[in-house]
Amino acid sequence: MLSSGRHVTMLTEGTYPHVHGGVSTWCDQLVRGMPEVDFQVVALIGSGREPVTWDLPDNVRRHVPFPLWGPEPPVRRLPRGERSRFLDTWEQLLLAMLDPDAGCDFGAALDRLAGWAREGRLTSALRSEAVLRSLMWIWSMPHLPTAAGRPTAHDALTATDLLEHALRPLGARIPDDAVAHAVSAGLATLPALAAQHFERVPFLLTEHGIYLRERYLGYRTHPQRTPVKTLMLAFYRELNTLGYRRADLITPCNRYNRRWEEHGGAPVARIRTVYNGVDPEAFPDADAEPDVPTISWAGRIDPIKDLETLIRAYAVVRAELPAARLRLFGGVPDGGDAYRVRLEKLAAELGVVDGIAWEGRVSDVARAYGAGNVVALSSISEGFPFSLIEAMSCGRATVSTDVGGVREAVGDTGIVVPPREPAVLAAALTALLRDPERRTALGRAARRRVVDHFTLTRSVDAFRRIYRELAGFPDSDRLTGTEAATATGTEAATGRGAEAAPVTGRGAAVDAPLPGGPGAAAPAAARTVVVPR
Amino acid sequence: MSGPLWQGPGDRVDTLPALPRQRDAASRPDPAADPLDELALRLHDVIAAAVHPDEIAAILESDGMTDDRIRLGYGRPDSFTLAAELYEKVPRSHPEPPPPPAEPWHTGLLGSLLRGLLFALPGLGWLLAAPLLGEPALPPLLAGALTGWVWNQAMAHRAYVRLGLGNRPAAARCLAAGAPAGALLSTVATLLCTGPGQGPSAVFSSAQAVYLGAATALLVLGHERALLPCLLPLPAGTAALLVTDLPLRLRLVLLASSLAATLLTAARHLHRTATAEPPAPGAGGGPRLAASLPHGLFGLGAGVLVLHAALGEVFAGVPGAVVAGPTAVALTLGNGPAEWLLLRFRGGALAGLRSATTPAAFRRAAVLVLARCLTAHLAVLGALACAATLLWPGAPGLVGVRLATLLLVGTVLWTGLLLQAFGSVTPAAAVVCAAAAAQTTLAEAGAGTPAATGLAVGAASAAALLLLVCVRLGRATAHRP
Repeated sequence: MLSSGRHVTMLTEGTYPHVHGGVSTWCDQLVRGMPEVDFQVVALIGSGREPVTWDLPDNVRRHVPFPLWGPEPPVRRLPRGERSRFLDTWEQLLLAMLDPDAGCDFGAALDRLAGWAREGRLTSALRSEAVLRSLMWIWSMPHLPTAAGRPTAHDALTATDLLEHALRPLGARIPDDAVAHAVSAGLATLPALAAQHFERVPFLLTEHGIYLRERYLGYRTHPQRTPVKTLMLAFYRELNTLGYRRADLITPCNRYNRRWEEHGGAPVARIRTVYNGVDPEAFPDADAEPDVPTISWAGRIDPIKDLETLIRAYAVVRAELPAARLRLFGGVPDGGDAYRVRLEKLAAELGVVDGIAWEGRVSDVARAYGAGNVVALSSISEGFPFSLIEAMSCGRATVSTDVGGVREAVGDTGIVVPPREPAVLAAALTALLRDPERRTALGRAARRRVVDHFTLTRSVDAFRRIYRELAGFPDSDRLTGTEAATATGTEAATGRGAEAAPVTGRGAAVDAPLPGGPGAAAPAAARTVVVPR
Repeated sequence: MSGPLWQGPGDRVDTLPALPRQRDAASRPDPAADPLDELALRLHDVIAAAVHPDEIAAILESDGMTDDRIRLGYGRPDSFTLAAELYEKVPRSHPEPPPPPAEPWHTGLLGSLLRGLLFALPGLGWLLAAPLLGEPALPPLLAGALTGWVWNQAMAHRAYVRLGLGNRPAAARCLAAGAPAGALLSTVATLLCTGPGQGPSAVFSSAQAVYLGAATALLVLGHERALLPCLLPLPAGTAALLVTDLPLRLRLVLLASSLAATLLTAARHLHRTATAEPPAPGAGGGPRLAASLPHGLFGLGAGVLVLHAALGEVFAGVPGAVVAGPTAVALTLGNGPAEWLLLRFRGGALAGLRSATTPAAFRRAAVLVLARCLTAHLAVLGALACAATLLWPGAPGLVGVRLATLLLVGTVLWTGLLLQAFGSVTPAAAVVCAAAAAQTTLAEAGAGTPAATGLAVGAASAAALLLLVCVRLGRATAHRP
């Protein structure tokens, strides 16, 4: 019996509460914004030794870290009678991934594997010689794309190893009286899929970035031979599609994400955009602008933020305005020092080292935005960036790259430029740095936009209602089904072209509640753990 | 998005491809041509390496191609359609990732040779102690030696497992508790087997047990270079023996100083490692007690086989029998290169994994690597034995049956070590213990000459172990990195 939406299992991968970042900030906002809801957090992590870096509030009743690359689970062999059934299921899974014409059902195979995973027998079964041989003869079949890459025994070992680790979360048990909320697609959905299949647990999927897209791009860090790459990406693709088809509701954080979701097989009627939000009290209007023309940036020093383009753009700006300065607020994540060194070398090559200040991680991010006349964002990929709406809430003019939900966030209160074009970015920055009236006007419009559309209360309330809805208690104050259908119909009618159009007025957050809806308890205090992204 | 977990932990570098940019207007292409062709040409390598059209779509989007720009520039409705056409246009290539850096063949060779030397040097202690012992009494010596071997093999396994989990302080504590316990156990076993008038042998055996415990502790922790100076009195004394005879007192001093030095060094290193900073939590505990038992038994069986090879004729009381010194020297000294050859086998098997495309092909490759490494080991053994025979005064000639037995025992020991290294310790221990038991029973019953029984038992157990290796290590899953 579902507890009317008051119990939620939050499933995360590589984020809250072990890592700082945009998604974990959103998770923290969500749990703190709903003190009446009990959360259990199941966090998929790497080795198991990652420390917890967020203060968990009281309503997080249980935190279960689940290491994917931790010590070997105890070996429990399959009983002899089940081995041939297991092998059949394994072969079905492989054919579903590699051969679309074979007509095998990935979801059905995964459900059966979940049964074995719950008994703790999946790991040793996947590491057996029979499974390896099966993989080696299937992916060498001449009509499959993997055969052309000449897969070797080493490739098969690597692939079975990676798949075995990736499938470990299938055995994670989650409570059957709570809504399962996966904060990203991919491996975090595995426990929810299993629970939905066996115990009919409601399954909510939120997407900030597009998981599958990140996997395609991320394969460049660990290059492997083509057969392994094909198999693993096929696995993620099928898992992605399965998650979309089986989720009871999909909530992307911007409309841009819908493109990939619909392309990946998500039913349009089940997609509901819920924008991220900030607390306007926590990010009040910034103080007076600095005298020195400054560009500020806040975030994590990570290749996806494309600081190279920003530094190149800064070099061009500095050629026009020699007094201009660039201040970068943010820390380097573990293992990211190589990128930072590259950036410093680039700055040295361009001769702008003395104009760039590496401020490191700061506790008061609002001051970081206030430290600049203009706030820049040059990322290659974003969901609905917190740094952008926070800067807008502080009343600063922004120049950002047109990726993900940036255009939907900014609308016409900032300048949006194409990514990876230092010259265009520099032109926009210079134009703003030279025009104080325009900066003020844009800043004020930006803050109004945030207050009207992107507040934390609105975002948290939307999820509160979604939890109740999924638990079987649809909100009585909510818009009736017809208007919801019309809303989604409007979006479908305008087609994908509408994605890039700026969001104006009512267009934002289609599921906006009527004023005076329930759940008005907004977290009054400022965020206790403040981190740059 | 936060960190991907689908690959193991590691350094994260730039995930973004460096796409070649559009060339300047100077080389403006024919306006009637499909702009898609120009794009396909520019991104040819990236598209050829992609495994699915969605990958190309992801890359295009990461380069800043929004749907608007695609519609304006290429006339396709969105990035997915464009990506699908590019995917069809460019044939797949299968770029090989950069190969992993190859292990140079000499890594670890010096270390292994040093270990072999450290195994063999204590044998010089026998030379120095010969007049002290008078008539060496076998029961206390054998009891002490065998008990020590068994205990130290099991203890070493437990410490290695903890080291493997990264828990050096726990491994040091395990050794600090186990080494004295083993020495005590060996002393007790010695005393139980000491008859009247066998005192000096008992003392020597106990001293040897203490040394063995301390040396095992140092070797498991990897401090070979610390152990070497402690043993220097032994070769020094032996060298002096070649020139002149040494008085008993001097011999005693040399042996005692060597033992004391080893003890102090071991104590110091153990203390330092055990009190070092404890590892992060979750580093894991030790193995089950039952898991170390096969290792101990393997040590027992191997020890008995070596003793039979070296002392078989003395046991049987064959007239004119001498200790087969060269055999013993070859087997102990050969342990060093044997360990190095284990590493070579692993490297060769990995190379086989990377080249074989079917399970049968891998099995063939693995058997080939096994043959190569085993031949090398036997060649080293043979060479050492020949050299030792030439240098040893009064050693029996190394021909025929004696040579064959030596090589068979060498095969058994090496393949047993190989199985142990790959985790199949229980079958190896079973075969070796069975062989030792068989040979001991036959020797007790007096059936056949020691040479013949040694040959028969050696051949049978070598065949059994080779079969085990081919079956178990011919599977690709046995070689998981």
